[in-house]
Amino acid sequence: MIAALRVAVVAGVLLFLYLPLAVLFAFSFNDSKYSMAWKGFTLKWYEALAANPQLVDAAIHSVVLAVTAATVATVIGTLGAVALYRYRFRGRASLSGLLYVLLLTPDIVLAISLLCLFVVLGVSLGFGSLVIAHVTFCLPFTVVTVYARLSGFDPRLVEAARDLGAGEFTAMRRVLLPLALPAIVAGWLLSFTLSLDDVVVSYFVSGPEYEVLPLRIYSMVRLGFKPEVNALATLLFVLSLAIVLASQLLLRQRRPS
Amino acid sequence: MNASDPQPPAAGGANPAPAAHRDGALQPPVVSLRGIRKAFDGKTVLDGLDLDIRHGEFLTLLGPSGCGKTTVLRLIAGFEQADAGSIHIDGRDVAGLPPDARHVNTVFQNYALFPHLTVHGNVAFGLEMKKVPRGEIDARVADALATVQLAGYEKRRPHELSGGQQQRVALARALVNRPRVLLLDESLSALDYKLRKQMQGELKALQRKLGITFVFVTHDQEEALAMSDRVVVLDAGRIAQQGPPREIYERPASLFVARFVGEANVMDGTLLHVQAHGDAPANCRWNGGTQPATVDIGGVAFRVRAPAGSHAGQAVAVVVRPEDMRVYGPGEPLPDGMAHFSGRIVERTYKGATLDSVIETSSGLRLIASEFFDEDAPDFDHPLGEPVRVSWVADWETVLPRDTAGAR
Repeated sequence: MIAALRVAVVAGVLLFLYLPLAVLFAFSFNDSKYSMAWKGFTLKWYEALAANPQLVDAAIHSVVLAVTAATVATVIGTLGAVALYRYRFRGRASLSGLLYVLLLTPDIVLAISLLCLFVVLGVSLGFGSLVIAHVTFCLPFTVVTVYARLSGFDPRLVEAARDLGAGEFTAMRRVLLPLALPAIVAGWLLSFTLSLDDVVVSYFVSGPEYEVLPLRIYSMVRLGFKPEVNALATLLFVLSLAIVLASQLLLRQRRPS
Repeated sequence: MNASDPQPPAAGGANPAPAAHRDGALQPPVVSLRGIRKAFDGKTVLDGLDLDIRHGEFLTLLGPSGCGKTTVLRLIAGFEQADAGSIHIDGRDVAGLPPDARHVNTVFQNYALFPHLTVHGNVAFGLEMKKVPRGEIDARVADALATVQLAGYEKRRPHELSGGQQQRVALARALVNRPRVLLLDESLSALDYKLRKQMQGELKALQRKLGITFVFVTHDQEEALAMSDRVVVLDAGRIAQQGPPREIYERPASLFVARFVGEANVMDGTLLHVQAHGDAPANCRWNGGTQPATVDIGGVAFRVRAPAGSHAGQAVAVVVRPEDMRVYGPGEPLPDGMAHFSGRIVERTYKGATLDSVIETSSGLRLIASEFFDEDAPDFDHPLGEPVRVSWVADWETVLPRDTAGAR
């Protein structure tokens, strides 16, 4: 009785979480443009997707943006995490507190703040403003990921390297970086995903000449339901899933004993 | 009982030479600290510390946690900079010199082995930093691992090793650089009792073989006594006493040292009579700068040796080690004229090699006596509540003025 109830609850939760995705999957292969009924299997929406230059351009833009933003955020974030881990400086506690504030700030607040800032500073909206905005919301994630990994290690490790004759930089390169590498890669992948599917911030800070994928999709569905959007969403979901899995695997691997 | 220990006519000087070093006494000290002050967040940790470390000696910094012993090590290694004072290593002022520029190496408390490197990679690290040629690195790493009995473990990673093996890797990683001084920070405290005993012996043997100066930090007084040529007892950032282990144990300079190093019965008394310049009895443990005196402890007068400069009427603390106490049961005759307390057994603990009894005297003192089982008394016992008389081996007490004994 209890066991049956437990199965029912678990099934209900899973259904609630994944039914929409399952429907999306199914319809991306449904051979019908308007009907909600199943009309047979087809790959034509994926073909239509590939034949839509606006969509393909937007997809390329998004990937370029995501790679750039993730890389910049990872470099800055790693340096920041190392600084938080290695040094005791004035304002250290406030800095790490502010990172968490940024982590919890609603996207819409961040978006409006950034837009205000760009307007005040006269930054033209486009690729540049997008990169700055995306780095801003990815940064706390990379710092937190790398810092969490580093704080699992004996703080004496760097001292041991120094003691054995390594300069500060060599100690970082030979000891801290190899140890933090899985977290650095995971942070990059996380940033990549965050950047790729961001709508709210991008909507505010992008310009007409650099359209990103989520915004393109948004404008497509506003004009009516498009089955090729189902196909695109399915592809995006699969890509995100792969990246999240990869980052989880990397973080689990080579944990310090 | 255990009075068989031959007592050396102890050296009376205030600056005893360390027991074992081959060529050190006349050389300048390998490490010299002068007037070292260090505070963290306004809290003073070291308060004007002076210390010379001689070449080739095994020196132990002993003290309770927070006494500043680890800070001394970190200052020598270069992880911290002193607020005031100077540190010389091999005659060179090392102020501002980073750890990588100092010819000392550290064995860390939890070893701090690099988890991403193999045993070989860990031990080779220091040599790689010095750009030693590849072939020489391999030879010296193999040599160092053989020294710590870990030959053949080159390809293992730290997490695949036991605590004792990790300890040896940490040792090899430091020794392979042939440091002038090896700093060991509570390096044995993570090991279990038996392994710790074994490593104590190995460390001592290694130090004698290599002739490298070892500076060992511990809070374990037994470890300090067992391994060191010289023990430096630290209390609240100052040196409470320094000397060979035997002197530290048998002639504690303060109540703090007496209580921290080993167990001690501390009895408050008042000097009744101080004799001007007496000769020490033949069986006295030490005779430097003392005067025969009589002390009143809870209404009983004992003959003791009081420090020079004592005067009648002075409040003193009389310190006696539990194993120097003598307990006489109802049927046992007391040596002629021996001053003693009367009391009864209130606690007894069988410890294997010894029987530890707590005696409450009629004057209300609680004294601990530790008696050995030996061929004369293989199965003596003191039942609880047994009326006994208790005293101690003549002249094996330490008399400390009450004022220097202080609050501790």
